[in-house]
Amino acid sequence: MFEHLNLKEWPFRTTADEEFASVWAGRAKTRDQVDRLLRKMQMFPKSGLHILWANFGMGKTHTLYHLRYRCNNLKNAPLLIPVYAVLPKRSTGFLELYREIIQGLPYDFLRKQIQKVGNNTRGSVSLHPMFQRSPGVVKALLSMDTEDIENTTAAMQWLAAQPGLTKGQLNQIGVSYRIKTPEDGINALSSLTSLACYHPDPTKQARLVVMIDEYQRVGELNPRIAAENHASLHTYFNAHPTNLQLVLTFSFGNKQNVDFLLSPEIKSRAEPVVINLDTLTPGEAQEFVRDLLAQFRITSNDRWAYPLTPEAVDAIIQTISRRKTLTPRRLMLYFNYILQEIILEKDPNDVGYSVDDIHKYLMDPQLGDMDVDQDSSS
Amino acid sequence: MIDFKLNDKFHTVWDLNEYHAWDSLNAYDASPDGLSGDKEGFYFGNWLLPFTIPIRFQSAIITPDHYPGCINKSPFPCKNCDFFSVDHCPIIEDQENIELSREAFRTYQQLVFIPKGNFNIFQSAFEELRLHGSPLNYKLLSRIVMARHPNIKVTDRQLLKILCSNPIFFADSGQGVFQMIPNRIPKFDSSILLNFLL
Repeated sequence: MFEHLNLKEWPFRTTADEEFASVWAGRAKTRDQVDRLLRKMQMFPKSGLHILWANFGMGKTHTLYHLRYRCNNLKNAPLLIPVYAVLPKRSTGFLELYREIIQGLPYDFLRKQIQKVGNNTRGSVSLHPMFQRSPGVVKALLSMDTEDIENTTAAMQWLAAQPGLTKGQLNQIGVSYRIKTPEDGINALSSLTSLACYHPDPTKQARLVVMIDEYQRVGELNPRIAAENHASLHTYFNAHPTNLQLVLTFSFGNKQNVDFLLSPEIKSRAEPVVINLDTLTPGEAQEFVRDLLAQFRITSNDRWAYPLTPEAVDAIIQTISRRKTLTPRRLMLYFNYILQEIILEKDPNDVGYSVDDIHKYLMDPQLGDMDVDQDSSS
Repeated sequence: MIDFKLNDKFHTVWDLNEYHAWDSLNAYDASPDGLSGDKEGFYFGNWLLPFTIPIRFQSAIITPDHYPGCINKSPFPCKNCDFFSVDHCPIIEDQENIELSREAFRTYQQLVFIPKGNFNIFQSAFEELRLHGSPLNYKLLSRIVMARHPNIKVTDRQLLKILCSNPIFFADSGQGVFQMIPNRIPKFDSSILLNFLL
């Protein structure tokens, strides 16, 4: 569709898109940090708690999608099993976060893991020590059958601690209790984590990478609920000295505030280096656009900015930076709007759209009108 | 608050020394003749309007920067007015008091941006919420303020009161969570208020 622009697809997206998770543009330092994080997770079995802080619009969610994509595409053992969860807005307790994590687990994989445990265990699988505190997990997983939708739904509902299961449904899936308290949730999550990482050969044990997005929302919670979240997370983390990787993401303007949003117990367990996604300089912004376009090229050539001219790219970047901070989201917003409008008007010539061509769209007073810096009242 | 009379009509404005008197129960009641002096607001077209941004007045939305042209100019430029129809214009109906409405609106433009309550607590809370950029529970904000501004003695309750009494600057998202409203710049100059009162 965009062959005449020498693009495979439209590159400018204003919201994180899972289909584009493989794309990483610019921000070489962050890419390096992500590479190192992945290598560290694979190489060392020790569990880790990682903090990712991002300024507004810097692509935090995209970074997590990218991390998940990279985990899923690792070819060599040990496997990294990514789970993406979002801390719910105005959470009423740890069970809501638990539910988010549970819903992100790969159940087909876990069912295969159960078979693996069965093949390597004498006696019943449910008697394996990893299920000691939450025996219902095995029953629920075994009840999940693609041909029995009712049982599968009930099992999922039970695992996700959702209310509304009748006694009859509990009997059908073979469990005798419900997940009602944070402790029940931690026990179930711990069993599932051990199961996900299980391998009879310890050197081949997988790592579960639990990524919790929007963790800054903990700052909106009543301190009692926030404390419950922190305590549950660190209990969960403590239960897995190996093979568990927790990634907590924060998005706000003042990086130093991460300190106030974590409990001392979590802080003392966190890796000392925080992954940063801070605002871009004009040079970094140009590199971002260049790198982004390069990943969508049908054939690479020396016209890196096409369908724009390099001068037009610079003009857009300079216009944004005169008014606002430069962020990937903002670059996407401006480039998306300007290119869409000019393409509707006319096709590009061989060198691309010039500064004069895009001028009237770049100067559109409505462009970016709604998009203000979060701290713009300074 | 201070009430003052001009041409036999009341204005009610903030008094820098009387912030503690403000509470939500004492909010503006908007009755046409309810100039009791107990309510905060300013005179405009025979109504008492609240110190809010925006002001929703009949079907019109008025802000300190976007208001009927007759507030600045005489004669009334009604042809170009997007706020009220000529037949139902509260300003025309009350045109004998237009000077009072103009004076009061200028008062509003200035006073609405003056923060209420303890200046130091307001400023530190404002600065921390501005830098943070995301909503925060007031108890956590109180911890941040106390850690970063050790010279400011503030309790959770005091901070909550400041946040609640400055809806111009802080959006209340419920359950004790507040966020700074972008592009609202407080005026800390008390001489503005004194000029009006003298």
